[in-house]
Order: sequence, then C-alpha cells, then structure tokens
Amino acid sequence: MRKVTTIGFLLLIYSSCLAQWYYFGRNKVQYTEFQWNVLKTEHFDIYYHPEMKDLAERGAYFAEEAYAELQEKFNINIPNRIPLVFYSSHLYFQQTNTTPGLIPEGVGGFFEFIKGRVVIPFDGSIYQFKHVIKHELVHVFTLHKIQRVLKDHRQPTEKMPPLWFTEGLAEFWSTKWDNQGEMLLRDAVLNDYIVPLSEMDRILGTFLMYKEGQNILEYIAQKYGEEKILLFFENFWKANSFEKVFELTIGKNYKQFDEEWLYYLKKKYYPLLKYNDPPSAVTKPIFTEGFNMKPVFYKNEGKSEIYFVGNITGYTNIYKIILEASNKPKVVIEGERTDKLEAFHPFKTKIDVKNGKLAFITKAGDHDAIHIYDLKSEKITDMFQFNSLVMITSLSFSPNGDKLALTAIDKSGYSDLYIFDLKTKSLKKITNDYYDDREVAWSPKSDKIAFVSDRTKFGLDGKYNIFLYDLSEDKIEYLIYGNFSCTSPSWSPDGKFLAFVADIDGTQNIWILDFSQKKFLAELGESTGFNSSSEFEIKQITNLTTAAFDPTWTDDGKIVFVALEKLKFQIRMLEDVKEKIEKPNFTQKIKLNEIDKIHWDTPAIRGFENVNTVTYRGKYDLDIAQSQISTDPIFGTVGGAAIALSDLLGNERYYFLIYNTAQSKDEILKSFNIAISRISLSKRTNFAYGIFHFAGRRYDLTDPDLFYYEKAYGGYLALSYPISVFRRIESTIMLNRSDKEVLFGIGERKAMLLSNSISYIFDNSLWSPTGPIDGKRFNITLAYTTDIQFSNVNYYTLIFDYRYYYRLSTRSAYAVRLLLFYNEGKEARRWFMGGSWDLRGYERWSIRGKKLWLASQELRFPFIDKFDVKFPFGGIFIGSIRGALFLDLGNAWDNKYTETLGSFGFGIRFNIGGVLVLRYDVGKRLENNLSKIQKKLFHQFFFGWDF
Amino acid sequence: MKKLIISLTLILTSCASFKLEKNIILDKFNWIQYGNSPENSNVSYFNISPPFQLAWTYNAGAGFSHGPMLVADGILFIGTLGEEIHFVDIETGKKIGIIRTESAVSGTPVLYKNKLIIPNAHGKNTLQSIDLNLGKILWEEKIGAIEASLLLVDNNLIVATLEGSIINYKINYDIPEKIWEFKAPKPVRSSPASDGEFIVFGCDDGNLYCIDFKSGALVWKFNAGSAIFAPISISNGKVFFGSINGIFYALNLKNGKLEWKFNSNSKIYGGCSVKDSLVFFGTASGKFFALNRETGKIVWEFSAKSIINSAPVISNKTVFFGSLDKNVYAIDIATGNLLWNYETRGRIKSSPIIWKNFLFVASEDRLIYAFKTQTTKIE
Repeated sequence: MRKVTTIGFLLLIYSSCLAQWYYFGRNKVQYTEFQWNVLKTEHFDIYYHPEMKDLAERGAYFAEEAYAELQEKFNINIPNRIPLVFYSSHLYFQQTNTTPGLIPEGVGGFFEFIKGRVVIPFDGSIYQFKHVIKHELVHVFTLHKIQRVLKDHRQPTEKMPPLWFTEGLAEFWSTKWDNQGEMLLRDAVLNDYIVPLSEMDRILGTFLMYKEGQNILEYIAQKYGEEKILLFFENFWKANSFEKVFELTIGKNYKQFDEEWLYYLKKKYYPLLKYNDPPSAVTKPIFTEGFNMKPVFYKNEGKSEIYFVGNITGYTNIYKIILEASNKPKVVIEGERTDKLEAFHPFKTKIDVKNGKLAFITKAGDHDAIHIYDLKSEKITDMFQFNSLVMITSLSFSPNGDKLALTAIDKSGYSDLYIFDLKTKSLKKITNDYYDDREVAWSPKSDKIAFVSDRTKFGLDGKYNIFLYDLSEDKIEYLIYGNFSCTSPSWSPDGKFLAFVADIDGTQNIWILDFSQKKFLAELGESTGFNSSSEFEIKQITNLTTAAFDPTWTDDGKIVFVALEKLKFQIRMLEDVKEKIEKPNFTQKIKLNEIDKIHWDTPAIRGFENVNTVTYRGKYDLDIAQSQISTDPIFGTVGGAAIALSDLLGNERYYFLIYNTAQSKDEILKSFNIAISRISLSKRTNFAYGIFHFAGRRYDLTDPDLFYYEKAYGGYLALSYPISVFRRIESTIMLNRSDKEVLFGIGERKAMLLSNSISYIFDNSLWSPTGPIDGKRFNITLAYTTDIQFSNVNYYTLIFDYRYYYRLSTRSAYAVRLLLFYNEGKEARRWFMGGSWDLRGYERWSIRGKKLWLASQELRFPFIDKFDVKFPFGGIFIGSIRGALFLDLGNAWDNKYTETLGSFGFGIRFNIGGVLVLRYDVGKRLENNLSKIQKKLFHQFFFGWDF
Repeated sequence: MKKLIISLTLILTSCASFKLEKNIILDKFNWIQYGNSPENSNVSYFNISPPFQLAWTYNAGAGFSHGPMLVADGILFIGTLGEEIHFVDIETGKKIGIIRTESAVSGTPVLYKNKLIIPNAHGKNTLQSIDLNLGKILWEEKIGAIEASLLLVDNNLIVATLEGSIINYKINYDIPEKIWEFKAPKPVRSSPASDGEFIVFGCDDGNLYCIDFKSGALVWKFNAGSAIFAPISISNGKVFFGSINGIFYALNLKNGKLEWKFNSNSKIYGGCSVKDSLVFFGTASGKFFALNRETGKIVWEFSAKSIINSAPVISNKTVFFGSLDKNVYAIDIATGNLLWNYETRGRIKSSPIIWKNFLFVASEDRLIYAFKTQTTKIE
C-alpha cells in the first residue's frame, strides 16, 4: 500500500512537473514571450498583452455590460473579481498555459473552474468577441448560482447541470439564434438525425448539442416563460437528477418534453420542403464525404480540376478532384503532420489557384504562412511569413498571379486588407481599423478587390456586407449592403457576375450580382464611375433547406460550392446557373442612396477612476491541497499532504509533497519524504527543477525478490525544448544519493547516482476513441547513470520506441510497434513487460530483464458501432466497440537471450466517457521459441489505450 | 449501521421533541407573518434609527429565503433552507432550540397563538403546524410545494402553492378547516396580501389575481406581461407589486384597474413597503426607488452596489433593506440619503425585520446579525 501511495504521489509530482514530458504526445509551444498588463474594472481583472490594449478596453466594456445583464437574469452577483485573460488571436490563445491540454482550432474560449479564469481569443470580429465574453460569463454565473443554491440548502456542491443545459444556456443568453443554428437544426430535422433531449448524451460536446440545447431553452422560454430558466437553478437542490429538476420546473419529463419539442420542430421545418430544396435534389454531387470547404476551380491542361480543403480522415488536407473523372479525390497537400503545415484553419481560410500555382495558408509555428504549391512539379515552391501578421484569413491571386490580396490579423488582433507582391516580397496594408475584413476576391479585370467586412452599421449585430477596394483610386466602395450577412464573394471568369452567399431569408443561399445592370454598365464600358443609377438588383439562385458556402465559378459558367446535408459538408455543383439568373428564386434591391455610411464604434473602458492598468506580477493561488492517511498491514500508516500552486496565467508552478513513513517514534525524523518542484512554462524551453528526500521500505517491481529499505535524496533539472507541435528534445540530469539496505538478503549498497538523459520525441498521431489510428510517433532516449562516489552503479540506457499507424480506411488501420529497451552495466535496472499493454497472453509484468524487445502488429477496425440494451429498469449503451487482430513477439533478458515469446489473437476495446478504455483480448501464446501454439485460449481483461 | 440508526433516531427525536418552555404572548407588536401585516406593508411598530451596534450574531447553519424571520415575545424564529427552524433568545443571541421541518423553508411561516405554521418548499407534508409548547406536529397537509409566504388574516390561513392552489383554512381549531380553494393555472410564488375583503396574489402566468376573501371567487385579474415573483402589498385601496419585466404597478384594489405603472428597467424580484405617500422597492440592477404612491413619480432613488432582492422595511423615518452587495442600508425616507450601512460577510437577499430596539438581518454567510440601537419607541 505504501508503495502504491508512494508511486501515486511520485506520479502526481512527476506527471505534473513534466506537463509536457509525457512519453509521447504533441507539444504546446510557447513561441511567443508575452508581456502582460492587467486592466482592473469594477468586476474584472483583465489580463492582456500590450499590443491589444484597444481591444482589451473594448472587451472590458463588453464584460461589464454582460455582467450587469447576467446578474439580473441569474439573480445573483459574483462577489470576487473575475479573471479574464485575452489573447489577440487564436494562435496566441493556443499557447496559453491556463489549461494543460492542447487547444483545438474550434475552441472559441473557455471558463476554467479551479481558478475561475475565463480565457478568450479574439478572432477579428468584435461582435464574436462580445458574444464569446458573454458566453463564458454565463458559465461563470451558472457555476456561482448552482453552488450558492446548493450551499444555501446545505447540499454538496459537486453536482452540475448537464452539458446540453450549460452550453445551450451560454448560447441562449449570449447571442441570437443565427443562420448557423438554423441550418443545422433544419438539416437535423429534415434528415432525421435530430437527437431528443432524452438521448442528448449521444451528442455530448458536439456543435449539434450546443445548438439543440440553445433551441430547447429558447423554446422553453417562449412557451413556458423565460423565468423558467432561472427556476431551473432555484429548483436545483430539489432533486439529484437534472431530469427531475426539469420535470419539477416545467411539469414535464424529458420524454414528454421531447414529444412536444420534436413536434414543434417538425411542424416548423417540414413545410420548408414545399418551397426549399435539399442540396442533393437540385445540385450535382462532386464529393459528399466528410467536411469539405473552400473549393476553387482550375483548368489544367484541358482537365477541370477542383481543389478544396477537406477533412475526411481526421487530418485536414488539400484535395484535388477532376470533374471529368469519377474518381476519389487525391491528396495534394498532406496537412497537420509536419512543422510547416502544422494546421489549417478549416471553415476559415481560403485557397486560390492561378497560372499553375496553388496558394494556401497554414499555421507554421507562431504565425500563419502562405504556401505556394506548383501544380506541375507537385512541390511547395515558396513559403511566406510576416512578422506583423499573426493569422492570415484569406487570399486571392491577382489576375496575372504576381500579387496576392490578403486579409490578415496583426498582433493587435484586428483584421485588415493587404496586398502582397510575390515578386518584390513587399506587403502593403490597405485598411487599418477595427472592422473585420475577410474573404478577398480579386476581380478578373484586376482593378478591384471584393471583400467582406462588418464595417456597415449592421456590423454591430455581426452582419457582414460586401465592399470593393478600388486599386487605382485607393478607396473602398459599398457594393452589397443590408441588414443581412454576406460571405465568400466570387467573380465569374469574365468578371460579369459576382456570386456570393447571403442569409437574407434567414439561411445561407447563393446570390448573384449581375454587372450588366444599368448601375454598372458605365463601369463595364469604361471607368466612368458607379453613379449612373442609385439602385440595382441581386438574385437568389439557390433556395436550399440547409445552407450553401464558398461558391466558385467554373470556366463554363457553373458554380461549385459547399452544401450542408446530413451533417456533411459536401462539394456540389450548380449547373443551370444561367437559367437561374434569368429565373431567380428571389430578387432583392440594393438602394445605394439608402446606405448609411456612418460606421459603428463600441464603447471601451479606459479612463474611469476605478479602472487602472498594472503590469502583471505572478499571482499565485492554490490548485490542489490534499492530505491523505493510509494504512497498510505490511507498511503501516502513511500520512502526508500534497500542495500545488500556480500563477494566474499558469506559467509558473510549484509542487510540494510531504509525507511520513515512520513505523515507530524513533523513525519519524528520518522517515520524512519531501519533494519540492518548480516548473516554468512561460518560455519556449520549459524547465523543471526540484529537490527531494525519500526514505522507506521498498519493493522493487522490476525484481520481485528484492525487498529493501532505501533512503534517497537529491535534486533534478529537466528541460524540454519543443521544436514544433510534433517534435521535442528533452533532457534531464539528476543527482541522487541512494542508500539501500536489503531487508531479506545480504548487505547494503550506497551510491551517489548521477543520471543524465536526452530524448528526441515525435508524435503526429491521430486518435480514434481507443487509440491512435493514423500518423506515427517515436521516442529515442539515451541515458547514463553512474555512481560518482562509490562506483557501485554504472550503466547506460537506450530506449527506442517506434509506432506507425497506416490508415486503411476512415476507421481502420494497421499499427506497428517496435520497441527496444536496453540497460547495460553495473546494477543496471530491469525492464518488465507482459500483459494487455505489450506482450499479450503472458502474466502482467512477468517478463523481466535488463534488455527487452517487442514487436507488435495490430489490425484495428470498427467492431460494433452501437451497443444498446434496454431493460425494464434501465439500459446499457456503448457508443462504439472496436476490434483488433494482433500478433506480438518479444522477450526480455539479462545476459543471455533464451527464446522468443509471442502471441496472437483478437480483442475488443471500448471507451467509457472519453477517459477510460476497457480492453478484452483472447488468443493463443506462441511458446517454445515460437514453435508451439498454446493449447487453450488465454483471456485478458484490462484497461488502457491501444499502443 | 446500528450506531448510525441510533444516532439518527436520537437526533430526530430530540428535534421533534423540542418544547418551548414558555407560552408566547402574542401582542400586536410582534412580527408574526411576512410583511408584518396581512397587507404586507413592511412597516414596523417600533421607531428605530441609526446609529446601531452589532449586538450579536447567530449561526443558523444554512441559507435563508427572502423572508426567513419572525419575532414574538423576545424570541426570534428563523426558518432556513437547511430544513430547520431556529429559536433564538433576542437579548442574548443564544439558541433556545431547533426543530426540523419537512423541507427547506422558502416562504415565511406564521405564528398563530402558540403554534408555528410552516410552509415547505418540497416534500410530502408541505404545510405543518407545530405546537411550540408541546413540541409536536399538530397537523400536516399534503398540498404541494409552497414557496410563497403564508398569510394570516384573523383566524384564517391563506396558502399559495406551486401547484397553483390558493387555499383558505380556518385554523382556530386543532384541525384546519378548508374553507375554499382557488386554482390558478400556473405556480404561485408571489406572497399574497389581503385587506380582509380581498386576497391578491401574483402568478407565474403573468397575471395578478384578486379573489374574494369569503368565497374564494375570482374578482378580477390583471395581466402584468410577465411572471410575478415578488410579494404583493396593499395599502389604502391600492395594490402594489413589481414584475419580472421590471414594471412596478399600482392597481385599484376593488376593480383591478391600472392606476399607474413605473418602468424600473430592471427585473423586480423583491416586495415593496408602503408608508404614507411613498412606496419603496428595490430592483435587480441595485436601484432602490421611492415613488409617490398616488402618481408613481420618482421621489428619490438610491443605488446599491448590487441586486436588491428583499422587501424594504420601514421604521418611522428610516427605510432598511439589504443587497447582494452584502450591505444592509438605512436610508432617510424624506431625502433618500444614506444614514447608515453595515457590510456583512455574505450577500443579503432577505428582508430585515425590527423588534423593539433590534434590527435583524439574515445574511448569506448563514449568520443572523442583530443590531441594537439605544433608543426605541412604539409608533
């Protein structure tokens, strides 16, 4: 028991100390050394880096505004100051140490419970910034309200409402129902994948869950009264299950509610089919699997090629599909596996192709990069990064391909329009304001750049209109204007039409601006300006039940675009564009004389007396404080405590461990076990150092016959340098005075151990619910341990661990692991293996030796997709059970290699709650140097992820 | 297990068998129901004013609702959300005893003779009458959860439930006699008020209902546009209440006609108090208003630092209220000037009450704060 406790404590310290020193794993790289200021408002401490001062002051206003509204809605205030941490871009946000895990592309902010921190990136849109601040503050209020209600009623405060409720409420009380929610709900209802409230666990954490939750709460507020939302909280103490609270509040259980809510949705959306069309009914499929976006057309030596960004397998790649052929798309650019192509920004960044060059954007290190890919040589020929531009959000070639129009976010967080000259490598900034400029499209005549911006008065409500930047006159002109959102402008090859997406009817459809209208005739003839008429017409050429994205023209006047259907973002083609322009679904007049050119601004909190800005100094708070007493019949009573401290930004951490293993009074002083560690994550090179003193009786796991008393004390220093998100170098040095006294054997051993190690680690693997399914990872470690005082210990270590996952299909893979652990020298430690994690069919950890090798092969595939058993008293539901066929070979030895052991068989694994994988293997051992197959079957049941 | 059962039995037995040694002498100066009168006027019989000294604090061990306290004959009765009623000696601040209730006490109980009648917010027997001298439950009613305060009019007890029932019980005998029951379409959380002729209450359906005291028949209803959580007050033929939509209304008691309304631009969760020409209430934005009771015009306003959830209490020329900013405030009725405030260690969402020269404040830190002033006189 003490051993377990000791190991437990050590693991806690070690794993926490070496937050990024896991055996494998990707790295969170602190590319940027941030300076931090703190803006103190009435209710908030706002942490921001100085480049985004203006944005932070606006954010401060939004936060106080949201606070005032939410305290009324929740009928509670927050007595302590709320820490808000702002980053001016998502790339900076991904470097935050306020949360230990890697932050995926889609995370727009989070509320962290331990220190009550709200961490939010800016993505170029002030409207979205305001929305996310309010969304996260709803979480803050939710937590406080729940805890207050439970405390008032003297109940434990651990329980929380389900995620659909907390996230649905955060959306409901922070934003309006928008076209994103509308398209998803329409698609879900019309394609029959809407998930009832009673089964919401099936879509836990998905965007669909957020939007269904929002819709449910909107429905409740509308039908039962908005006060019911507050009453969910006030009634929270009345029942242990939230379903019961729900029933007590609105008088219906989940099933009863589902009946009326689903009926309401069907009644609302089924009539759409009378006038609107599912994409599959009216457009031609180009590619319909996975999540695809940003298609562009290119005529390449007579072949009509579509390039697009797609995520079909889990990695985001750029694909090519040839329209004349009916083949599968070919991967042109493999993304998210190498340092330079670290990540795409799916759904956001455009690609473009011109004169045999494909331009695309990826994250590469701390900034985005533009890559130029030569279609002929099939190589990336150029890569451009700009010190001033953190994220690049769209690009478009000039007609002759020598320039690129860009929209990009600089260090201040604001998104502006730029022109980059590919020849001179010069970058020119066109706009310079806090409006969000996006999605550039250079006109075929070369004189104008269309772009999308929220600079009209509707931008305050998150609406984007289309503008033209006139290159010769260096001025911005209004083009499509109104209280609706436009995206993705795309010029026809002859420049006579502009296709774009607009949500004028509440959901995204493709609209066309025909430049042959009176208003533009003068412009098309010769440049006499835009003043011949004060109005023109735009035409809606799709009327989809769901939504359209990213239209792009083919050379023969068709439009390729992305459509949502059955929760897939499909590449589709609209063939009858000319007919549609002649007979549009709807038309809308744009009246230029009604344009209100007064641009919006937002208030900011700057000079109030109670507001002040200070430079951030590490403010440390307790993360964990835990004491424990355990009793064991062999090792006696062990008592101790562990404390962890970190600063508000999570950059600096301290860990303290103290416990005592004394079994009699006279042992107390010498039996104190103490470890103190400091970890610094603020810079790119992370380091940890500490001192320790451990004393007590030990049982050596690697040698079951050894039962001894050991007193060890010393210190260590560990460094980790992430080369990129995929690669790192680690090094440790440890000085450890170790005095062993063997209890049931002979003698004692004193040593002053000096250990050094250096490791190179790579990991770009992609995971399925039970383990990696694609990519590779490896760890090469060299270490040397020597006794510098008594010469009792002296050995070196080599670790080579290589794992490769070859994707066979979307959900199946062939996995290989090659492992060599090698210790050689005086008192070299033994390795061990055997069991479900490595050499299957053998007793767990029963194979021991100073040298060890293992080769495992596994075929991983989906076995059962859904396992749902219903009993009268309840049910069992397991989402996905995966299967594996395996063959393992290996052995361990000290001096003489004896035989090769092996096993083969079949196993099933399933994930429980995303944190635990249960695994069951059945098979036969290969015995007697692989010459004999075990007669009976072995069975092993354990937990753990696939290798 | 056996030990646990024995311990639990002892605890429960001791709670249930708590007896008050003395007979409570109920005179008209005792605070025996929410609002200190059937009209919920929230006016004290005693004239107190700052300065105050903190005399004692008492830890009740759980949170409090909007009106947790009653006082009579030197004893403070405190209902908690932790399913208890505490009895505290006012002079010393020491505990006299505790009784367990069926569930959390959200509405204000009623003291009737030597009986304490308790509304429970959850559970089966949601209305309980306890004989304080015998230390036992006299009767219990299964009428659904009660979050509104009980209303005592002479020998009649009016109970509003979350099932939408308004029930009139005659309680001057050992067993309550149900006189009538009115059924509202939605839950009733708003504490009713009565002038002896009519009973008025707000409902989650957004209507204010006026029913006949004798027959329980609907006299009129008024649509306030959103749910009414706040207690109702009656004064001189007018009904006063605030609504979740932030509008404070004054209606004619006899016909339900709107006399005036005032938009506070904030949610109103708490009750009001009425004295002479003024009506007082606070809002969720932290604003505290004094309006002219005849016209609804602002006479003055005061800003607390956070939400005001509780009804104010008036004593002579001072109005007292608590805020979620943890402060209890004393404001000069005539000028709106702050006379005194005291910051407790928790949010204050309950109405203070006054007895003799004591001001009692329940705070979220689970403490009852007893403030004492040197002088007091009966108004």
